[in-house]
Amino acid sequence: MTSVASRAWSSLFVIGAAVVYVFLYAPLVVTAVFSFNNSDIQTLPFSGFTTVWYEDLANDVQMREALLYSFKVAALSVALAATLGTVLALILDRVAIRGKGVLSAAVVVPAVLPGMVLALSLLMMFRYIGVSPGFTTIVVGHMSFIAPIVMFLILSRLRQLDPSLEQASMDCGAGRLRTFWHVTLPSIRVTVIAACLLGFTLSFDEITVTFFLSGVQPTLPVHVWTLLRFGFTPEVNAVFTLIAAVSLVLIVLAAVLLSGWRPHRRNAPTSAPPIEQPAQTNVLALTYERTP
Amino acid sequence: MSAASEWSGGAIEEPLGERAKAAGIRVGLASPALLWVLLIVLIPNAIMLLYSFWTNGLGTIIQEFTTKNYSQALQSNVVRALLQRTFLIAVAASLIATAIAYPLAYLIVRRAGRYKLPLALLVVVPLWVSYLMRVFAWKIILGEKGVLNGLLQQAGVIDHPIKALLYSKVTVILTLTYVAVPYVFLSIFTALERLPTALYDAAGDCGASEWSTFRDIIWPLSRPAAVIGFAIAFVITFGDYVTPALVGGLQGTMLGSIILQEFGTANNWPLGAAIAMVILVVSFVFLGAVSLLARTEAVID
Repeated sequence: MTSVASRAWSSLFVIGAAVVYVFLYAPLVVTAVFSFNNSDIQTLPFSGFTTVWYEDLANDVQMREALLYSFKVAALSVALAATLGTVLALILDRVAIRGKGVLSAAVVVPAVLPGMVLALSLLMMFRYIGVSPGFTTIVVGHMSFIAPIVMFLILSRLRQLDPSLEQASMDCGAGRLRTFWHVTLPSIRVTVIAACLLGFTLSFDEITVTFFLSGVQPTLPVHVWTLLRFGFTPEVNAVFTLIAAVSLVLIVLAAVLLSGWRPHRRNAPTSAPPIEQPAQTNVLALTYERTP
Repeated sequence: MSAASEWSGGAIEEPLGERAKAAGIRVGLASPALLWVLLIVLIPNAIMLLYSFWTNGLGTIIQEFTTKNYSQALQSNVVRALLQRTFLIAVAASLIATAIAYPLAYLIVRRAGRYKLPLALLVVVPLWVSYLMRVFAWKIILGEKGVLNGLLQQAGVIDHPIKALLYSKVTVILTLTYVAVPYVFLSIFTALERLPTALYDAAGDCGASEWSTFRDIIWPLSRPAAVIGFAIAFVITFGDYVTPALVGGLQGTMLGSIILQEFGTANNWPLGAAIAMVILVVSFVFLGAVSLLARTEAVID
């Protein structure tokens, strides 16, 4: 290939990449921009700057109730998912039982099933045992897909830990529980916090599972979804923009926490991967969120 | 039992009873995981399967085994047409997303230098923005009075707004592609990133052009990741009901919309469960077929 031709190819590729970034960000920018547009109709040209949609939002009682409800759901389901996820990770990392390959695949099923299938299977189980849709069902639904994600993050952290630390602790006479409390837990603490932040944004934004499992009181996304199906006010753009801003802050925080840790030194093996490697993988691992 | 698995129990000389006790303790320790699988995975799905074999009778569920729902669903022209359309839409969106994500990931890994990680993160950031917002934004962009029509009118390209932009099969494919790109990118990027740069250098030193290096070395090594990315995109798009409901209109209705109906206004849970099982089986069969393709031609490590 001549250099002229290859340079032409290169610039074509770069232009293509730029187009992809525009494609990825145009919808987000459009929503944010229109949340400040002084008109009921979402069209160009802009009619001027306003914060009236945000004021509407602040005065909207239903929206406030939905927001509060979403917070409660997210807080409880993340707390449960973090506990369960940690326990599951410890089991998969430490306990030697037969059929562990099958077990570790089965454990993550709720996070990889199509959201609708997870929701319907839970919904039918709850109906079968006589639990009507509401707070409990939503929390269980959210917990089901967040716990495997927490587990995934903690498991990859546990595998980086130096086992001799725990052995040393037990050699010094600490029992399993004390060792866990004083040695293992502190070394996975940051990961647990980061996983909680991630789980919170996932729960807060979830619609596919929540829609089927919610009762009379909707969560924020379900409330917005109902608004969108039966008409539309630019207030929705404002709430989207706010949620996006908060999620991004939480995610950046989680990413910083995850990449900030130093991998423990393991007798410096000669073929050690570059130091940045685990951190990088984990920042990207954050995005293994459940499928919608 | 092999010697290796005996070691994991730490008991070579122990009598059989002791060994069984140790195994019992290990199962006890693992019980939260077993309970989790039982309560969240096995039982709900078993109950869904049961429901799909029951029938709906005037507001109550008749708990008698029948395959009526399946024959009704599979013989219904509506369901068959929707199944076909949903499949085509999901395959199209996943293929386009892969076709966009692969070259982008390759370009970023090869050319972005120290901006590699920031540029890669920029591709996945949209995943963290509300799913509803990402879908709804396309309605603002493509609507009859939307941003695109406004831009085109202002530029003098068109006199009257184009109505056909929104509420069609193409709109659904476009939106689902948009949703899928970051997932596919993530899968391909992490794979390409792991390939040692020495591979490219060695091929270059041997006189291979960038294209033949790609075709003979990089593609065979990264193809499984591309297939996995495609498969993730397929699972996401195949079962979606939010996107068709917002931007699909009548033309873009998908199977998920029907299920929504059966669990909502139509209130026929057993039929809805049967259609959900069809979705589950079709995705598994399709993914199984695809994973045969994913078998790697070459491995690194």
